Amino acid sequence: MAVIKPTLTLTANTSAATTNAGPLSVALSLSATDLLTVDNVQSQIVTPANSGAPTLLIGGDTAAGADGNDTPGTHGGFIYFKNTSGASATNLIYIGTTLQGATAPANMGAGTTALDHADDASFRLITLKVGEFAFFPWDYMQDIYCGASAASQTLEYWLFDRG
Amino acid sequence: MAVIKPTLSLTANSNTVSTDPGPMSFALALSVTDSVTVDVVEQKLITVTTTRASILDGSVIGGATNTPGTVGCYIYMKNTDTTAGNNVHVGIVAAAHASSDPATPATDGATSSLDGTTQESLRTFTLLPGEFAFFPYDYCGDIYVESAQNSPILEYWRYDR
Repeated sequence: MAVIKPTLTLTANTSAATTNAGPLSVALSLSATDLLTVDNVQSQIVTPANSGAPTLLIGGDTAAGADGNDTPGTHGGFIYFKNTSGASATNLIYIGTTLQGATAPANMGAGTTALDHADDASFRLITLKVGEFAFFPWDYMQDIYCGASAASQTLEYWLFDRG
Repeated sequence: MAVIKPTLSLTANSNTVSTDPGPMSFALALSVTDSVTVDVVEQKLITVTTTRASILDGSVIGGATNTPGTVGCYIYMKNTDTTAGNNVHVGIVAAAHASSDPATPATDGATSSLDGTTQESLRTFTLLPGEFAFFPYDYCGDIYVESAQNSPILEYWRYDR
């Protein structure tokens, strides 16, 4: 089996610092690293829809290789997302989920479950501003959808399947 | 406003090396860093048990209006346990995936439970001992946790946008 090594650091200055002051009275230096066993790798840079139906990014059932492959800790993968759009404070990427095969989020700008809806009924889990990223395991139990606040934005994703 | 600086690197050897070969024919060295503006910081060491528990109520923290990119947070979670099998199941649950779907994971034994092995489970991911996650979260829904066995400690940080 193959191995990948993710390392995350979270740092912050003290709140007294004159440049890039942190949120706490103490400096923060948090670090985590791991070795993860994986096999298949999937990566793509997509241009999410900014109107109409949201873009189905990854179907959980397809990624799992069929129903029944849903054992926690055995079936699943590790996802990396990054909003790679051009610099703009308004270039947002929205990411949300539904259960496998369930009704998709409403069309962008239309309905409370839409990924861009400013309501807690939205199916949106994550908003990525330009340059922001996410890394987390994913058990393939849901379908992942994405959308964008403007045309021609880009989302990079990597999916490393648990080996 | 305060600033935190998250950095992620993802590395892998090529598949031809003898120690820790990677999944591809070439070495991977992916690195990303950012500076994000935050205010409130919350940190907990959560003893996760086999009984489902809510650790974040999105409507309580974020309210009903969740403007994308404005209302939300950055979440870091790590399963600090070291014993194989002491996994943590995490469900990031939308208010309701559909009118017929539950918004709260069921207790063990029912299809939507966090340890369910069918597609009806509301489990989003499983953290094996030592595994971690970092992601923005928009407070649209709630977060639940449950252990596969025993009582692993989940390190949890929330940095509010």
